[in-house]
Amino acid sequence: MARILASAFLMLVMWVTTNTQTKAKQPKGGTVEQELMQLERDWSAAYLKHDTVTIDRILADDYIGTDGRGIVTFRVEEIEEAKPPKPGDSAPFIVLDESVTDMKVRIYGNVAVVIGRVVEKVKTKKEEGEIQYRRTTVWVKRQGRWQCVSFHGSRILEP
Amino acid sequence: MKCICLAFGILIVVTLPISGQQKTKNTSRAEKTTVEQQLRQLEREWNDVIVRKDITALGHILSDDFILITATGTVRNKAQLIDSIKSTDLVVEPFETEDVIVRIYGDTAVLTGRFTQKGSYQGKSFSNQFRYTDVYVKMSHGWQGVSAHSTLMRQP
Repeated sequence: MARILASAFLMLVMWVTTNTQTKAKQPKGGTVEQELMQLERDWSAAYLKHDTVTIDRILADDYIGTDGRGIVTFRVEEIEEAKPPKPGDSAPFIVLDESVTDMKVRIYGNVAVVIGRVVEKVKTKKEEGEIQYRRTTVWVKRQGRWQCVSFHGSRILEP
Repeated sequence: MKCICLAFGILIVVTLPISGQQKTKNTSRAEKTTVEQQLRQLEREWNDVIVRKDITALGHILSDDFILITATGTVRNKAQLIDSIKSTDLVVEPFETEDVIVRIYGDTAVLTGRFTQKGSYQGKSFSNQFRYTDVYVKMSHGWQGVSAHSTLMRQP
């Protein structure tokens, strides 16, 4: 009987341990995929709101971005670009709104590759319009936090 | 003398871990350099197999879940990329990647750089400059490309 009880206790301990470990792997509020997709949306929203604190948190120190024009930017430039325009600034266009859709997340240990489609409402000096591009971002989990190390975008020119 | 020995002993004890850490640091740096060289070589092979239309070699370089986003924003999987390389409509001249930056995150690596590609498609010649980002993952049988994204560089 004692052996049966010991086995039952051992099984209970194993169940609790396994269950706790499984739960520990899951981030609060959903899966890793959901967490990364939310980070993509947070970054997008932060850019629109000129929230450089959030962008600063999202981008890794060694971040490298390549935009649809083939222009390469680093973390400092990315944060600078997100700041509210200064009086007299003449940006070629302003992003009025944007949404990230069709996301697909692939996870390789502590690194994740996310692809998605972005629809942007932009305003140039002449008119308002819409542009669409596809993006590939690479995220690295460091000290329990996902940070973006790479962004690459291409304008969608084919249907 | 005892004091000197004791002090010397402490010095050895203190020095050994530092020396050990230094060795680990140097080894890790050396390993990183080797991995970086491997990845740069793999990148050159990837370029070469496209030119040679070596579909078998390309199949080994790319992972089964490989995704390419082209300069026109189109998504292509491994089979679709292999099909387009296989096509006799496409002829690509030998090319090299430049300004390559390699960043290694454990078993994943991100390579960014640029390349000029010349060739012809259905007899029409082309010459384009691209910026690219490739992602490699170390699988059980070696490094494989899992992601590639290219963008046409804006002419100055």
